[in-house]
Amino acid sequence: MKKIILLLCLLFALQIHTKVVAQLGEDTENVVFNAILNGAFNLIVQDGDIQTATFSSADDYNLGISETLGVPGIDPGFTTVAMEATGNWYLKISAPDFIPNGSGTGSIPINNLGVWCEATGIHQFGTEVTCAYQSADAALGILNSDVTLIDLGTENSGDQTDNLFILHWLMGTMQGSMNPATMFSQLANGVFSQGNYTSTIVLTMTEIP
Amino acid sequence: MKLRSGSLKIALGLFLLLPGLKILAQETPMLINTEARLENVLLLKIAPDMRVEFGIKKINENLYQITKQPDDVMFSIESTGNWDLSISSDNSQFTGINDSTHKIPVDFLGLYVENTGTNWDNGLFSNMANITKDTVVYLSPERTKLLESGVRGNVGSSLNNSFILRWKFFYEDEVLKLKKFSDYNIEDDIYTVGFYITLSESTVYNKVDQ
Repeated sequence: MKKIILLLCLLFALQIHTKVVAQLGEDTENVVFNAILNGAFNLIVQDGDIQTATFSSADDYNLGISETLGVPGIDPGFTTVAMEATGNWYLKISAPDFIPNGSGTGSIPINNLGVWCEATGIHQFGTEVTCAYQSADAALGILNSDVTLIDLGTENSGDQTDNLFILHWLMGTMQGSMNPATMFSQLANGVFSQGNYTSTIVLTMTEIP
Repeated sequence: MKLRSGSLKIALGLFLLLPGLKILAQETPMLINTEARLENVLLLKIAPDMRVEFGIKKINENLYQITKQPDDVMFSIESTGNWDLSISSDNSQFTGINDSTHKIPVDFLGLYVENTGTNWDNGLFSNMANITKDTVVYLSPERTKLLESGVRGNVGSSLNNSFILRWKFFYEDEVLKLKKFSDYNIEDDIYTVGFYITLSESTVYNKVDQ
């Protein structure tokens, strides 16, 4: 009887051990999830990608035009740009001189065209971004070579709500670093004649590594 | 020493890579098309009431006194193209203000244009030719050309094209002025006549083509 009880105890013990061994034999597999955040730098022109500057009166030629100066002045006179960036960036601007389009002779120096910036997003000038041209009086006269228009302040990565700017255009107003001569005097000096002219402004957003 | 050499190589490698990284910086260009329309402007700036008046009083048969000198007329022109300018009176005779039966032919009065702008008026080879540069022309109901575009063109603003129209009695400084006066039956009065200044585009020349 004792032997039978001992045998049963041994069998019971072995059963538990087998279960434990079975449990220890379980395996685990890992799923590796890679999140790759590549750099994204988008410059979006929301509106105002076509500008028409019309000089139609003596005052226009003498004083210059903008979205509010002259009739019709510059239509629409402003361009809204936004930047989507995963890193820091800066914005450059340049344009070739105005060349005749059909009528007109000579060429209009591009520094007759000026621009100043307004920050309307979360990122503001003096903190996240910087800009040396924040009013008409401090306007940048556009050049043939690149000039930095908006630069990095503290940290300017962000979406369109962060980086939203209005570029205000001026022509012939002689403000800031624009051409100091009136359009009329340049006309009188034979630099160009009346007629239609075109130029293409290049805005370049550049990643700061 | 070996360690330092290795560090130097790494630093040098990083230094060489830096410009490369900058070149690799992502650039996103965007274009804005701009058109400048320079439309034609031809504008004469002058006081709206274009009349000339003078007063005269007979002292005796051979002597008259000018009691009111005609006022000079300042005017300027703003033009994006070349232009010519003429003058004419609106009547062949001055009429007395006090008595409209008093008449004097308009050629009793002469005029010349003084240039006060920066565009030169020294003949056809400058910005413009001033017909009255060295002479006085008489007022006439016929259109008389005073200024015309020269070889250098007379495009410009008021700063470039600014003038004073000065009146001159023909008898002045003339030996035969008494004869001139005796030709007219002049009564005491203030005499007036209107005049037109006609500004027109000149098709002669485009300065930029030079």
